[in-house]
Amino acid sequence: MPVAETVAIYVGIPAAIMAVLAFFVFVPSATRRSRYRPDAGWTYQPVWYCPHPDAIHADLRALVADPAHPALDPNRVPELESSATAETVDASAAETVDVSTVQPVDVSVAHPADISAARGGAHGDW
Amino acid sequence: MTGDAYGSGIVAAGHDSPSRLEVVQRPKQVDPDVAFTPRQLARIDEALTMASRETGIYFTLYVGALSVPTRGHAASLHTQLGAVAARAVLLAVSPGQRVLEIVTGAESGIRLDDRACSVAALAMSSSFGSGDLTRGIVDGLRVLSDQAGRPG
Repeated sequence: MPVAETVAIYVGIPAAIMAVLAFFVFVPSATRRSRYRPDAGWTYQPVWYCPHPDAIHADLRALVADPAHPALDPNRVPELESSATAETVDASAAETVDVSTVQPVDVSVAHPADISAARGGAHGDW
Repeated sequence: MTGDAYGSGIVAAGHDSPSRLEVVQRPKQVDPDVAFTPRQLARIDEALTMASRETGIYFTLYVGALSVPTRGHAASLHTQLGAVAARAVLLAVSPGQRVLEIVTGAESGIRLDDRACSVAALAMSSSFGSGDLTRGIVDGLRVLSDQAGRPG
């Protein structure tokens, strides 16, 4: 058997198999979004996820569809922040939220919903 | 993306059917740098939807920075839910600060006491500590759903 053929069979084929395996092992992790690391901080904008209205109970859907239901603003902390970053959103214009156009909320006029509705829960850290 | 009364954007969570779309609330103009991949969003969407559907409790998830004290900010976010707040549970996760808050309402808190929430928080913290946000969120929702049971 020629030398080249011998090398191709006993070296080339195993090397090709190893290359294919390495491709399927390393490429998916290389192209995947970097995994969250607790010590690396968080640079993404706050986001608030809610279940789709069509997928929840009808009575809950009615509450969520209430015209008085305010547009959710993760940056709104009227009773905690002393800076001008305390903002609210006009519920009648809830189509698009642009915080540069909203006015600071007047905490002296408390909507019933502004009173804390929290009953309990838990805290965790890692 | 299109907007509706629930916020400024709808993100397809990996499904074509409109019933599987999740509603994403954003405080500013849409930031294309989303924290989760479509597959992760699909898992979160499914967990949120299934937990809400099975228990009749309105589960919501907030992922982002929390003002100090974090408990106060999370409670403020929960209050923003308005009429549904009493039956809502808010999971507020701050990956940068490495804290999470679970806030229950007047009615949801009866079915999910602080002990049940602590179990969920522990499960979530365990996954978050190992770097898996999606799994932590899904596990937390699953624990809360199991603890709450079906509506009476």
